Amino acid sequence: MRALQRIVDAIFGLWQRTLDEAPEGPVLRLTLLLLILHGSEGENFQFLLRVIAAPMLLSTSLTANRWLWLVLAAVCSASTYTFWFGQDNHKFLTAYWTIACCLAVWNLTRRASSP
Amino acid sequence: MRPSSPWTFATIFPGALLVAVACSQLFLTEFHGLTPAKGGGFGMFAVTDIRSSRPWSIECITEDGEPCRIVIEPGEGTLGKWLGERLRTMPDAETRARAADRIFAMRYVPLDYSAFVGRFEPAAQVAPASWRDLAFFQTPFAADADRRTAPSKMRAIRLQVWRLQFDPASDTLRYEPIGAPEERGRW
Repeated sequence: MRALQRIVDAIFGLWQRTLDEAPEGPVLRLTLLLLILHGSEGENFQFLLRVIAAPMLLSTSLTANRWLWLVLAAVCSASTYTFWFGQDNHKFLTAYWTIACCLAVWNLTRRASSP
Repeated sequence: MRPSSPWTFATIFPGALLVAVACSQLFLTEFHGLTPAKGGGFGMFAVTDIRSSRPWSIECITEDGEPCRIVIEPGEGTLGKWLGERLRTMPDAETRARAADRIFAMRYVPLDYSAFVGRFEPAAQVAPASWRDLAFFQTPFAADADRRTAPSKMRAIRLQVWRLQFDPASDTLRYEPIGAPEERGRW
């Protein structure tokens, strides 16, 4: 019973920590998870996305790195451009969303660095 | 003095990109045969012209001068992923020409028509009834190809891509050709 209690506490503790952190954190990490699982239909592009997004997901210091987000947005755009006539339509939305995340991260970084 | 706004690009770009993609998709759908179900999918739920309802038919003449028909199923990979997908989703003149060149360059083995009809109904529907008497051929790479027969080239081929359209006058669905047929060889 105590073990079950600990598991429940751990799950709710994780949930609470997620709610307590800055709102962009979970959004960026969920986006990275999406890119790792279903980022692109092209094998080469998917490999690139996984290589870049996996460290960003695991390391909190890289999650909001604006240069890496720029690369992710570029890879998603290139993937869409090369197979635009055949790829699933939700991949267009994924590319839009990745570009939006990239712009948001650059905006956040700029605000944080301005006096 | 105007206030400086260095993030104007960030506020305008996502919306501008969406509008640009939508306009491109509408243009290509209207003038280059792109199916509304692809390229962003704008209008895809209002049409019957989707990717899976776009068969192609390939008439041919054997080296002996007999009229025949070639069956290349979209999923068998003979045309390659890029060209096979492009021929179904946006068969513009350049794509049709590339596909016809490749189809004409390949060699074929005989195919049992009855096996073809049950397996790929849309393509069978665009075939006139008279075609049932023709000899059918497929590439030796197809899953059920007869590999005991030596593959042979065709003297001529004619490629036509079709799409399923609703005819409000007759309340029926019918296949109509997309663009002009692409011919290779001596007809």
